[in-house]
Amino acid sequence: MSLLDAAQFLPVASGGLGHSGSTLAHAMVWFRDALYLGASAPAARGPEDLGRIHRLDPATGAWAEVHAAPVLALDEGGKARAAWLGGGVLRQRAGAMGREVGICAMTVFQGAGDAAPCLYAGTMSLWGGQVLRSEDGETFTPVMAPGNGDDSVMSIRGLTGFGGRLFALPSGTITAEGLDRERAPQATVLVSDGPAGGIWTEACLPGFGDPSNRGVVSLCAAQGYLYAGTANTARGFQLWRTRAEGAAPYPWERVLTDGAFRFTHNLSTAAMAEFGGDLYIGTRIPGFGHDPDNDVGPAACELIRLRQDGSWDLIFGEPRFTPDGLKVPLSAMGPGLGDPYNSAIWSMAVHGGALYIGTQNWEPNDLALNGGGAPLRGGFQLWASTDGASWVPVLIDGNGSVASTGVRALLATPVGLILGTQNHSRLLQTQALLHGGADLAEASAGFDVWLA
Amino acid sequence: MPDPLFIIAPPRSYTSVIGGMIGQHPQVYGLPEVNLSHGETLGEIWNSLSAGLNFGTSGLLRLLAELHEGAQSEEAVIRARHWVQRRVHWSTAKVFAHIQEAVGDKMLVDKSPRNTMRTDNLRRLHRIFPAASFLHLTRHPRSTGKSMLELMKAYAGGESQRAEFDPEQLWLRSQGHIVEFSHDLALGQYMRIKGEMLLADPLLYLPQICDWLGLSSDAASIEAMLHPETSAFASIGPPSAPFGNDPNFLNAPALDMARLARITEPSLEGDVDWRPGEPFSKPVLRLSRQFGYG
Repeated sequence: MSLLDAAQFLPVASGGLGHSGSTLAHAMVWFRDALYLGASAPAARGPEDLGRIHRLDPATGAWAEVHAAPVLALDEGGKARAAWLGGGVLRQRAGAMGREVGICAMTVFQGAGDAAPCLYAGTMSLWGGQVLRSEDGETFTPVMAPGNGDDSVMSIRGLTGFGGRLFALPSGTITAEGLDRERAPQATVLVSDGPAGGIWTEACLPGFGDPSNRGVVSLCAAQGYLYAGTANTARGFQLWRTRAEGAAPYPWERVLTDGAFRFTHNLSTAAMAEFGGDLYIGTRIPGFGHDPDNDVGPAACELIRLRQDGSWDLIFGEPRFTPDGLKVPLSAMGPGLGDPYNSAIWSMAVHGGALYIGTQNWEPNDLALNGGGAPLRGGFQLWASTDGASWVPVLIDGNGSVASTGVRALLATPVGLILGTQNHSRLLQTQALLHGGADLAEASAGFDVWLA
Repeated sequence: MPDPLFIIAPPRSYTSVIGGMIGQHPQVYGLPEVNLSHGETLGEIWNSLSAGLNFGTSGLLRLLAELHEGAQSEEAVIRARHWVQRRVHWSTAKVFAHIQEAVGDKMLVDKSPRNTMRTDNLRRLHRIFPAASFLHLTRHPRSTGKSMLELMKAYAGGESQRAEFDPEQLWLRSQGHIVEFSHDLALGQYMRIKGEMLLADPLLYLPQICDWLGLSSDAASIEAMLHPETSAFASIGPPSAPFGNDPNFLNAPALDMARLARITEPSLEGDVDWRPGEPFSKPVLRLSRQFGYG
């Protein structure tokens, strides 16, 4: 069993596939022998910055845009919401915006009402996130009311099939009065056994019965359970699981609490994946390692390994005494894989017998803000492990692009491991301009995609 | 020789009882409050320690008396004071080396309150002992503040001083020094634990601390750690060196396991006693939540 190395990664897309506002390769799925990529423009400025779905034909290497959000006229309320995407100020006041500005989750699922497996996609929208459904990969139709009835729900994320049902996470809140990208109006998990019919119900009590859970942010099917991770700014994340048997809301069991006893420095879960029969849980603090809204951090991310019996290991992170025993990082690496700028494990994939994890790295942002003109450095990192305990870097420094600050999506496919990035060119340029930091040598904007 | 353990915390953070427990491990020598981090030389340290009630100097005098003569009589303490006065030129490192030589191959455990008074003090300890371990002990800021005020009332002037004293700021300043210093340390060299958590279930956490320090966690060792009262320094000392530790601890050093099991953490919500009508400051709330207080 050998790990991929940097030389094997070839670019298959760059510059947001021609759309500089498409800064996030946000979600990927393999469907009908092709790669589908959901792209987001989270700081959309106008009708050109749309949520899009691109398809890569692996035989030819050709991309096709199979979905672009319809553009809708903005009324006054819509204009007020749109302004928040640009940090409260829309530079060019747009009269119209895409119905969705992002595609932030994708999965292949066959539920009641689906004659065959369909592609489902969760959207980010000014008017309330939705779920789109496609039978053929060409036509995408909304199958959820905006925000499932609450149009202040900005995004639908975490689409995960489990036990014949499709689960989803409402995420973020947008209104004319403000934008909170992290916190949904209600911390909940939605479930549908027939998403084609558009009926979704709550799969859990709000916040799993704990009001300090401000959001449910991660879902993963593993070990015969559906796992859900929360964001909790008062105590640190919680991890819950259910067999999802019977009628919703299901009984859930809390497996981890208090950020695995690192408290607020493990504010939130991020990516999760099953590998070797264990659940791997990446953690995150929103923002650039410091959550300014809740004054948490700065702190770097951790990786935790959970066995089915509920016992757990710290893979990398902060050694500590816990009610579950002394936890020392099995990798002998501290938070952030030893890099304080790695603030999130954004993505995970199991490929070729190894677990790959992708980070968000805010070193370029720190230098743009505080470097006093020093050249920017840093960028996303990709690490791999064959045993879950020993980790080696595969890609560092954004794989040559300092503006590539995050691995937002990773997917193991029949043609190889595919990696989609987050590009912060615009943000870095703005930060450098306002704070006297070094400007980017490159001006490339939009996500990149790499294949190995 | 094993590298020492420094227990670092703001005042009134259970360091006496927890330091006393760890100090009774058979492979450990628990020091009284020697405050040796507070200067580069013994003379500098000696001059800086307050003479009031012998709080600052008692620990070192009692230790030297015990190490030199195996007793802490008034006469032995006077001779220890003479010993210090003849060695004011000694470096802090040399004094520590003298103590270590007298103690043998046991791990020194120091919980002196002045260690956290300045970040420089912590860095001095790290410079002398680059591989030392540092255990950061926390206590909820509300109960810490109350305890500070009660001690002040009992020993240092009472209500008149209380009105001018904000214990929350002392808590925050000490914690800030520790957190800043912790960034200098290697992975695993620094660990943090809530004192409430440890005291409520010492049988769960003492073995973890032993494992971290590379000490035996067998039943006999843990049992010894449950008896801080057996320390030579767990009592009121002779007249010219009466303390060297928290007076409350010195008067009642034995663990009351039933009382410890009832330890609870107060809330961060609501007004604080020392600023009626006001809640905790935002920096205190931020750090408290980082430490796991709700």
